[in-house]
Amino acid sequence: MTKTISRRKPKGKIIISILIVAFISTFLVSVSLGKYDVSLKELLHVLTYKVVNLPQDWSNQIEAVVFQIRLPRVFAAMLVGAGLSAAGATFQGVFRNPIVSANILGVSAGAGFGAALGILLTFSYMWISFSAFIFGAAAVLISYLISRRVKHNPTLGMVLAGIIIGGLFVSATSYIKLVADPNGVLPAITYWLMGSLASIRIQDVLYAAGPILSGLVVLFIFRWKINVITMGEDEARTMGVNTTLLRLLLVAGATLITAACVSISGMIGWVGLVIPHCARMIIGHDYRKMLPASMLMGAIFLMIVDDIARLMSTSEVPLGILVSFIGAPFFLYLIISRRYQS
Amino acid sequence: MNIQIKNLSFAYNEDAVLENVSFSATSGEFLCMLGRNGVGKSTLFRCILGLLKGYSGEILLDGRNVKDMNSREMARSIAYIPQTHTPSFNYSVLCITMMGMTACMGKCASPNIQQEKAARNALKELGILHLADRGYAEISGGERQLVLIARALVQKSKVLIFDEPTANLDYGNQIRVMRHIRALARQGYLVILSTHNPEHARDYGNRVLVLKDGRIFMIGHPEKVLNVETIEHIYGVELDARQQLSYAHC
Repeated sequence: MTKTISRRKPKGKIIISILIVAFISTFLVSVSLGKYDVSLKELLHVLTYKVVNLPQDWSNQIEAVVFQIRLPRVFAAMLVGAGLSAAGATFQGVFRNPIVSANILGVSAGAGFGAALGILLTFSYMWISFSAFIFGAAAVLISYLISRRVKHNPTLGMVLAGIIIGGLFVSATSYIKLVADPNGVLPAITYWLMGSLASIRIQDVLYAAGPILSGLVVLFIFRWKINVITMGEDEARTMGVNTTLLRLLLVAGATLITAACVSISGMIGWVGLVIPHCARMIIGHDYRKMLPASMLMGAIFLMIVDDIARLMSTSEVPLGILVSFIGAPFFLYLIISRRYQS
Repeated sequence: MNIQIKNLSFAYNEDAVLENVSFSATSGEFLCMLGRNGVGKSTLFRCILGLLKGYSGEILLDGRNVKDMNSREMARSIAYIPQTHTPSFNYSVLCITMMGMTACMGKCASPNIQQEKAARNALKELGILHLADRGYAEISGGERQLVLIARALVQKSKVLIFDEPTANLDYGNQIRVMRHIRALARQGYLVILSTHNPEHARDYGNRVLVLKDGRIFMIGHPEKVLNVETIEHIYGVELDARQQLSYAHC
């Protein structure tokens, strides 16, 4: 018996350690990769020089590329990947349904509408983000209020309300595109909805990092209780969990993350669905390990896909499209593969 | 530990489900609740567990009204063992067992080494320690029921409420699970259990409560309550000669 214990326990830790190493390497490689060559050595020098004083042996161009272009973009991919994955995993737990993701509450659709509206009204970038956030949160709030009126099955009520509200926001976005000026605003909206990190600036990243990181902290703190809440309302409550409060906190945290992600990256699907499933396959279903693994894997995945988006061709393929092209076949493979059963 | 239920009534909309239910029970009792489907057993359990609040009457635990207790205090007093089910996620048996300790942890905490050890001890007590690292979805129904019992034991509450624990089990597992539950009552737990099998009440219980139309129809020692006449009356069937014989000595 003790043998199985000692064999199993470090397994989770080893996987997490491997993921952390992979995460750091992906980060460094992603920053050095690009059309302007930055060697790993130069990169490490540029990065450490901010902390300790080093004799400058790199060009100013490299410094500009690293700090103005690469770092914001890689940080954004990292935050959005980790955020969407953790939010997806949390929604799956709270709604006790492994096929749920951020789209289910209409968060993405609401945020997409908010951004489209902002672009239509020629808001500044910051206000477009803010509008995305407001409408994303509004979508959840409306879904939540509707679900409270569905007495017998609040979870089903919330999912259905989310789908309905999401559909409504998608139609509203289509209407905005219909009335938008086809010479300037319409392409901007369309491109933004495809999901991209191409035009990201450091202030956008800093602006979104606050809500994303604070949401991640909330989810991380309550990761054990997510396990308990997946056992169902009655059981969780008889085990001493205040399900109403916990569900509110988790949904609010995951929504905050999703809206903040959508506001800087546009609509990127699949990550919130596929990454938690991969995490479950390699580390098991326990949220204590699955949630951190999802965050790391999501960050790694989106940094890599964004590298491909940047490097594949001279005119960039939007990240959202690329994620779908990779995510959909991969998810299909997952559900027909035998490992999915366990 | 002592539980007292005084004039409990509950209605969904206008329909009365429970009417003036009063009884009390103390540690060491193994109270089996019988009654047809829809007679109010689940509603009664949900009221006792604090899941339904809109009832009239009082539920007292050692003289303290459960309405004055928060969910963590409730969890440390009463544990609920549901029917076995397949959860949405395939947690390990150990993980499911440790969930019972949530009310004893800090509000933001995860289980620590001591708590993991306690969970393993509970699994050992029920003879299923070898399953600790297996997935809950991969074990048999009888084993799952034992895991849920282990989860209730680590909750450290002295009242155990079982909702038809043998409902989905084969004959051997029914006996195994009922014996474990009886052993718990003998250790001093207060067990309240609903069942559709009067033989379980007769063979394992030391007190029987019969609910009919939301009221207590009979309550007392199994040998007094469980006679042919009562059983025919509860379930609305006539027993044949052989079935009658099995309750004749009661």
